[in-house]
Amino acid sequence: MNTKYSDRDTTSARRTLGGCLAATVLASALLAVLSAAGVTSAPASAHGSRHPVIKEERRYIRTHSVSPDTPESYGGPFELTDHNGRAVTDKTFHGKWTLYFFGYTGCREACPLGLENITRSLELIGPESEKIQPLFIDVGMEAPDRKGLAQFVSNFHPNILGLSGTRAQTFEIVRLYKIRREYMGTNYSKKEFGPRIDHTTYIFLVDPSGKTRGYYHHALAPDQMAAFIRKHM
Amino acid sequence: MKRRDFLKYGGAGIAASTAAVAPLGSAAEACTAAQPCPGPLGTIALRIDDKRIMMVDGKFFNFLAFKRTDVGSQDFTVPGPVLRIREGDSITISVRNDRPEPHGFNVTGIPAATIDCIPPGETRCVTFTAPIAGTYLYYDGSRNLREPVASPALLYRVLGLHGALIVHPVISHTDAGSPTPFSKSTHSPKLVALFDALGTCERFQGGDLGKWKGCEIDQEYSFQEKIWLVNQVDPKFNNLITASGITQSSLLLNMLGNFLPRYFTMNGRSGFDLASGDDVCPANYIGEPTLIRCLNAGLCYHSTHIHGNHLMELARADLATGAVVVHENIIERDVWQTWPMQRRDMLLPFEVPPDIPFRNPVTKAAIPLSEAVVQEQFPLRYVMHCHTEMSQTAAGGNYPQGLVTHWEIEGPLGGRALRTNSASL
Repeated sequence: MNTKYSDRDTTSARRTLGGCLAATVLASALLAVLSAAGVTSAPASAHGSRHPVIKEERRYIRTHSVSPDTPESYGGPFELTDHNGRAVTDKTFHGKWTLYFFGYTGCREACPLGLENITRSLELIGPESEKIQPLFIDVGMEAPDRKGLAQFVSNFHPNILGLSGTRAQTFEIVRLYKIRREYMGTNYSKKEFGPRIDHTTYIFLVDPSGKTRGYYHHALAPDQMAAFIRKHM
Repeated sequence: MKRRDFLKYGGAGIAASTAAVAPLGSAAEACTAAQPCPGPLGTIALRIDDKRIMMVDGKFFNFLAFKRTDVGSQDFTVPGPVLRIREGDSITISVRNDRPEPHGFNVTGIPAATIDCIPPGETRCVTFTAPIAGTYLYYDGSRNLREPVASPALLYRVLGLHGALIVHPVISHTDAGSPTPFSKSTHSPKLVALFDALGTCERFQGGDLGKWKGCEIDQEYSFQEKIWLVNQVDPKFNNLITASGITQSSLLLNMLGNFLPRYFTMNGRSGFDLASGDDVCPANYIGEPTLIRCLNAGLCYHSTHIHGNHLMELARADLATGAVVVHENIIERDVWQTWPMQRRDMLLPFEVPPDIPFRNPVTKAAIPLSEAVVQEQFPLRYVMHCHTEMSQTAAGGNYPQGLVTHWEIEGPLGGRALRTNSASL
């Protein structure tokens, strides 16, 4: 995996369920390999193996098998500019349910899919969707292209608002929502142009008081997205 | 290793190095006694002032910066401009100080190139004879009033007053006519063997184009010569820089102990901003080597590492005297250490990387490129990063927005000579 040009707040103890499972599976596989190699030949006590390698692996599993962060730990105060040039903050959207989705306008894979799924889920929700403000936040490191952002979001639900900011502003909201960004060295996509950014694609649901109530994957089926949002509203 | 611990190790390097090469403090009375420039402003004219610079996360901090005023229209930069001179020449450098506090000028390994003090608003000069060819570091080694006399003067250098000084050789060619970056008097048999072999064998391909060609003396860098100058930034020290002078903080009583870097830079940039740039990223065809002059102006120890090729270590600095030491033996490095104030000249040979299957490992027969498993399109990109892992982050954990860049191999693998015939190697 190319991890050259991304940023991630490693000071926060962010764990994903996938990561936990991967760590567990990896450790289990390693244990199996060690067993096959005869590493576990040391006698095991009733309280577990005394072999230092095995103990170390078990300690690793204990350390890394933790629950994902709670939804409330995501989000916070930020300042950005919308695609119409209007300055916005987190408080601008208080009083409405808000969907936060992060991406970049050159994307032709996860971002259009996520925005299309958001569009369809809002249509499924019907008139009540007027209480929901969907946001698409540009995570690119380059100077913001407001015109390009406006054009990109215009392909989807008319209520979707594109947000962008200075580099410092973008760093801040990316840190608040623990969005991982990786600039890839080469873009092989036939559909995309410009740099490719691999990034976190969760969609965050924030309640009218500004508290994050849940998050879900961008590829979740629109009816399930609608059900998830309705459940919280 | 904890961040503060590795700083301490770096500090040991500084204590060993700077005690010998940095001048003792430049108190106000010494400044008054310093003489103004006797005549013209000299071969190289520099100015010192403050500059506000954006870090990779968009935050701005104050720096102290050099600017060259005798050529073109340059801006204040961190690091300062690359200065190139020729060995044996008599060089006069003038430095004008536009800041409210006194400053100085030093060059590692050239004690004669020292200006102890430049009073605020004034210009001072120094004349010296350029020493043997190699990589040197110029910097401000004068002491802030709050820095204890018993410890090395660090503040102004780390806040941005540093840059690379390159001394070009007068006679650099081997007997066989291969150009090198060093004076003939310092050539060892193994150095000669390496530079003579470039472009002449299967390992070092490229033919006539495989010989190393140095940068022109009026340029900062070239296709086959880059400068990687690293430094670190702790904003709480940058915040001491004000328009009226340096805030006299108790932090300066133990700068080494209080220094906790938030940004790790190369040529003043990091992360996304370091991902491109002809000054940093070597990009050449197979068999066309690039010299990388590595310098560390900061306080932290770095372990520079690249993927794809090993580098040949050609020269380093003697940390006790600062002098250039051209190696008797040429060691291949996967990782090379860069202590504070250390300089190393590393040759990136642009060999065919071992992860590219271009030759049958048993029969040694060449595999046509069309049959080889080529994982990426050209250019092939290989990462450069620092094995002192925390330096790959920025602003307290943004990974990898720190000391990370890359180098590129232009295709095809057969080198420039085969670029029009990519069907075979």
